[in-house]
Amino acid sequence: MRLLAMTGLVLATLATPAISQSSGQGDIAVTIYNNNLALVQDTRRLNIPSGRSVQTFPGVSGQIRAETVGFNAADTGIVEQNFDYDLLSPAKLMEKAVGETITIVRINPATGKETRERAKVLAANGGVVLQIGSRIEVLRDDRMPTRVIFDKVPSNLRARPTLSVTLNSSRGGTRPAQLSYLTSGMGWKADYVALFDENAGKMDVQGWVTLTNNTGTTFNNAKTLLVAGTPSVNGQSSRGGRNNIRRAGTESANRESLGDFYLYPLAARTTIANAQTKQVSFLDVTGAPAQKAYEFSNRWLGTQREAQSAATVLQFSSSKDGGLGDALPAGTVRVYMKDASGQPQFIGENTIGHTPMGSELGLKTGEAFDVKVKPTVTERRRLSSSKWRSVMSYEVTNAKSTPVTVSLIQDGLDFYWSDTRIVSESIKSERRSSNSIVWKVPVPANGRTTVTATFETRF
Amino acid sequence: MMRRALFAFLLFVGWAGIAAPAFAQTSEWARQTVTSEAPSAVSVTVYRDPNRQADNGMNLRYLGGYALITEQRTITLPAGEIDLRFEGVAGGIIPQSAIVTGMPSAVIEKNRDAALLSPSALLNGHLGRGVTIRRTSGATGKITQFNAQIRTDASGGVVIQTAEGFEALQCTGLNETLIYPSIPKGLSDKPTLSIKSRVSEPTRATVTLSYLATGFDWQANYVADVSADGKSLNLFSWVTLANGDETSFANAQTQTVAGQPNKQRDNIAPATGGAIALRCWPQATTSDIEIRRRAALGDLSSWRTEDQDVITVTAKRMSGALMEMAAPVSIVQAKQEELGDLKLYRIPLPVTVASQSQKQVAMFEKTAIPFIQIYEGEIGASRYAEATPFSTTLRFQNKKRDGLGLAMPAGKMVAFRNVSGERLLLGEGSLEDKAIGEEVEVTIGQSPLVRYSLTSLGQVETKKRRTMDMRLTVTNASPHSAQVEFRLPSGDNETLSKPSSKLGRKDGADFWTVTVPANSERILTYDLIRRL
Repeated sequence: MRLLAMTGLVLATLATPAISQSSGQGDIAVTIYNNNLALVQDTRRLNIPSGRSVQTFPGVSGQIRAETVGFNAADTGIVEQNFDYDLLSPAKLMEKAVGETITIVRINPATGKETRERAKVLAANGGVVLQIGSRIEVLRDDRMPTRVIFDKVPSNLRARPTLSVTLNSSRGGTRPAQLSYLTSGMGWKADYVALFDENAGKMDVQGWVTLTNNTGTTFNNAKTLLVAGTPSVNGQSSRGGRNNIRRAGTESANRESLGDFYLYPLAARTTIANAQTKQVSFLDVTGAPAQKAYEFSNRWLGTQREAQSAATVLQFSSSKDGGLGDALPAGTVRVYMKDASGQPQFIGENTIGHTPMGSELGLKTGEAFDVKVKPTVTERRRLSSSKWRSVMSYEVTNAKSTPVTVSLIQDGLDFYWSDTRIVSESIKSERRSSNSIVWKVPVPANGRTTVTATFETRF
Repeated sequence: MMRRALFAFLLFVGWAGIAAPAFAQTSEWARQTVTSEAPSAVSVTVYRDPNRQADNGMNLRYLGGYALITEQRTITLPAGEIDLRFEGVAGGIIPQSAIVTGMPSAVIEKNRDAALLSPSALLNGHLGRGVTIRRTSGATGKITQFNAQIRTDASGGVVIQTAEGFEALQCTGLNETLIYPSIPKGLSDKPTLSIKSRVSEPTRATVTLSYLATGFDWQANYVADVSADGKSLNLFSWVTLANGDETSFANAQTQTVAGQPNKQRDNIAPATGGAIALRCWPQATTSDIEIRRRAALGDLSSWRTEDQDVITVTAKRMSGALMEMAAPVSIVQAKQEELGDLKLYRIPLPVTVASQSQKQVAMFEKTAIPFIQIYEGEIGASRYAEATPFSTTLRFQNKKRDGLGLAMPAGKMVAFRNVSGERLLLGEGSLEDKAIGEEVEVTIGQSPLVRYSLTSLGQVETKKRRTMDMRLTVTNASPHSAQVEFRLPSGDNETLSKPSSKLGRKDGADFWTVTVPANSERILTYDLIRRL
């Protein structure tokens, strides 16, 4: 009899693996948003009996947002949806066994002889207190090797957080059922590789979608769709940082869209493994026009003791004419340039936000070694209680063998909300806004240009 | 006997049952994996830590710069859908920066898998599946094995289901372990970069893999030898680069880039996998004694804590960390090229950029550069100071006519002077990136002999203004005359008037230059008027 029970169990334990080998997932479709959010649609074939039944769903994301679960199957209504996250562990098992009877097997360390007894768990506080017959003992108080065998596991203790749905079906039979939920732990961004040819004024750009899966779950053979947008989550929309758009575009990209978000479907089904970073190409443009510019921005009354490098800015467009000709999802642009031996070398990177087609972009790729600006407040004079005169001088130097033009920006003209007047300036400035002006300073090769300006302010 | 045979048979069927789906899956994934073990040629371009100032040396324990690594790899590709795995890449690889060119057909996708083979991954991969438990008797050495099913994941202790019921692994005090039938698929030994492509016919191809990797840094190091007359100096410079990665790059084309490329922090998905958190039920007893005794008594709960995932910071061994001070005769010099608005320094010979080591190659050597040593001081014109030492600064022009005139990347400078046949350290300072034509000032220390004090001799206050009678005294206790430059910035409501010597202007402030003869002092008096 005992042997039968044994073999039966061996069969049972060994047969189950073959079944649970599959992840339990059905036909998977994943829609991934930028802000660490994904919508998973999992269509499984379920055998739903007539009447009430409970279905559990293994293979859902480890970071499922249980409150967003939707379930849909023909001729079936949902009674309730449960998300059990009381996890099975040795401690929980012992805790739940209080009042129950367990088997303990004591092994004599000298002889290996086993003594088997039934014991009632009285408490599991700090240590485990047992009642064996009429004796009260603390488990392994004598440090003797002792096996503890529990007859059963409480049904609500799970190996992993488990989603279950109680259904009421009007008929029995196998039918497709769609499970959909939101999960965190998956997100994507774009990574661009830009190879800039300064002499030709052109660049080649490849765009890659980079998606990451840290949900703890592998999604097998999933139909994948990427949404370039950050929908509000819990009523909170994330506001991005710098987007480096100089002028937002007004062109529509030839891509499918969802509301205001562009969609980037992956061409083929793919397996998104857990802990995987996956990149798929979405953009490949050669010979797009691009040029380099120098910019230096000085804060109000900023003086520098040592000349500071001007920023090198890469300017290009996402326009159809003379640009990349696509809407650009947010991400990092890494810029490369060929060195004297023809090998591409990294010259800097920057981020872009979601960029509409037709936009003009200006990415600061780094600081120029040879182009520097030394701003100095040469004079501050009080003319009256509400009138000050500030004289600024900016020494722009160029150690390159070619002439350059530097956009020299003086910021902070709205200093203390005062109106600032330019009394005199050595070259004509252009007003960018009430707060800043820009001088386009031509600097000869291996030379210098000094810009001076006198401002009148209230303070 | 009969029973045993039946059991063995069942076991066999069972194993076959487990093994079969695994085979089925490999054939279903009819992709061929091609592994490229190592590059045939490699180029390493090292970039500085974007957040490190020139006066901070490289921190060899944590190198904050990065490198662009370009590798040529020759591979034989079969026809069909292939997974090409790249091994031997730098551990600090920024996977999203990887570029693969030279494939005979398009790259369908690039993957970086960071699910690692580890005790916890084995356990998680076998959740709900059959494993074997092996127990070894401490008394007799007898080994017993039986089948069990895993009922928990690796996060909070292991519960197994056996023929007898449910047990917790290693809460028993027995010598027991899990034996797994196979490795769950999709686990790698370290984070792996791979690409997926579809190749139409078998090809032998040379692909180029390039990527950015963290854990590198470099700087320039300058050694200045001041001549006997103290009027010129010889300047020797090094490119000092360091590789903190676990990968060495043998016979690498090596470059460094000066200037400041923009670089952000990269989010690299962390590798997963680790130890199993083994936790038992409460195990206190009536006579708790200290941990060490318990371990001696064979209680496993004590060593179990040592079994936790411990982050090990490997001690880094640095070779050549001590810089060679003497200016040597350089045979190999890094060659400077223009790279957009950056400067590229190419080491002309292939060198080995060894793992966790620092390497130095000469950058340039220039002789007889005229310089002046100045004593620099600065204090607000209305403040007070008592016998404060001046900064000692070496000033020279980065110009061709002065024997220089080349790009000088940021770094440290040590200055030496020969005193009666012995080379003595004058001091150490640093310079930022200096372009051709710029003035270079390196502050190498503070002078204990040349000091200044600023005091007020009296003040007169009216309703509108306060006038302070200020006296600046510069003392020189050295046997040489000292060239002093003193900057006296004043506030918007302050004016400096009636100075006893003529003052200039520098960087928007009043500026006094004076030569103080040996063993004497010079005094500047002025009125500082502050509007009230």
